[in-house]
Amino acid sequence: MWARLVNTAVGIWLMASPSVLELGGAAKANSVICGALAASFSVIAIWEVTRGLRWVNLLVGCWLLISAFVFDFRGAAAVATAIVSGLVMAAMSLIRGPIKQQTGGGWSALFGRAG
Amino acid sequence: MNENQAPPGWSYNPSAWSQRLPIVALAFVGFGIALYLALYQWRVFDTVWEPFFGGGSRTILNSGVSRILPIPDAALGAVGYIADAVTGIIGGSKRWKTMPWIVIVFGLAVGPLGAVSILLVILQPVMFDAWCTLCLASAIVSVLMIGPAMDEMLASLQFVRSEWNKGRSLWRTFLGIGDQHGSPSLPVGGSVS
Repeated sequence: MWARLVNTAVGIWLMASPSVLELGGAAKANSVICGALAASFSVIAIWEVTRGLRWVNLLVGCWLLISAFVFDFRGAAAVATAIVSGLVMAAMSLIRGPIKQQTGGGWSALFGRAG
Repeated sequence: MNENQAPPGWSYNPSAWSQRLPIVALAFVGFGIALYLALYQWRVFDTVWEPFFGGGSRTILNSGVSRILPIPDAALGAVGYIADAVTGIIGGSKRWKTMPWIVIVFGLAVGPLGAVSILLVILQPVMFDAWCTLCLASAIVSVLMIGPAMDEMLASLQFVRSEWNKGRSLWRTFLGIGDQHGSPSLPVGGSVS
């Protein structure tokens, strides 16, 4: 639960940071898009049956790290935001958290062998 | 209504009213927000409530993207939320096995609607350099509905799969018709929302 809430907060920060840090261009678009995806998927992954969507945030976190070097972000603030947010997000996405409910084998039960 | 009709291998019943009513309540909240925004887009209201982002809501709600379709995008959202609410209400607390089709329609309505809202939120600041408070609120409502709706869809899909494995008709199982052990008969072809 808390790992998902941390990533939700990181996502909201990424959406707000271009206004706070006065970023523009690619840094702004990248930050807002990654933030919206991360916040949405981390909220959906709070529920146990959709917990697997936390892996989307591992991808978003890794992309944030890469993007800091791919785009020509002007200013240390933009680069630092992308790197720190990406590291935190990737680390949090690795935490599975407790699964207390039984759901008949989950989604993988749909794709198993017949029988 | 027995609320303890959990599917095989489940520790709870995802079709119980206690599981479904919060989602339906969220759908009504989303409908209220979307309807208000649509009425502004239709100019029934001359102004739109925007406490944080100045002219942001006006920019977003009058943008080219919002008018791609014959009806304003908020009106489409309102229709989507009504579809969520209707498909969330139909059926009893055993509907994961008595009417899988409505559960699966419900899951698809909640999932894609949330995805569209996320897409619109992403488009707003990137394309128009503006934010819209009530559009964000609507997107939050949509996102909150997805997680709690997916468990019921999983239960129905597992049920259809296991009946199919037993050699029963996929189609009849999906529609909840017929030869199933103890399943009540259902209004065939009725109440399509």
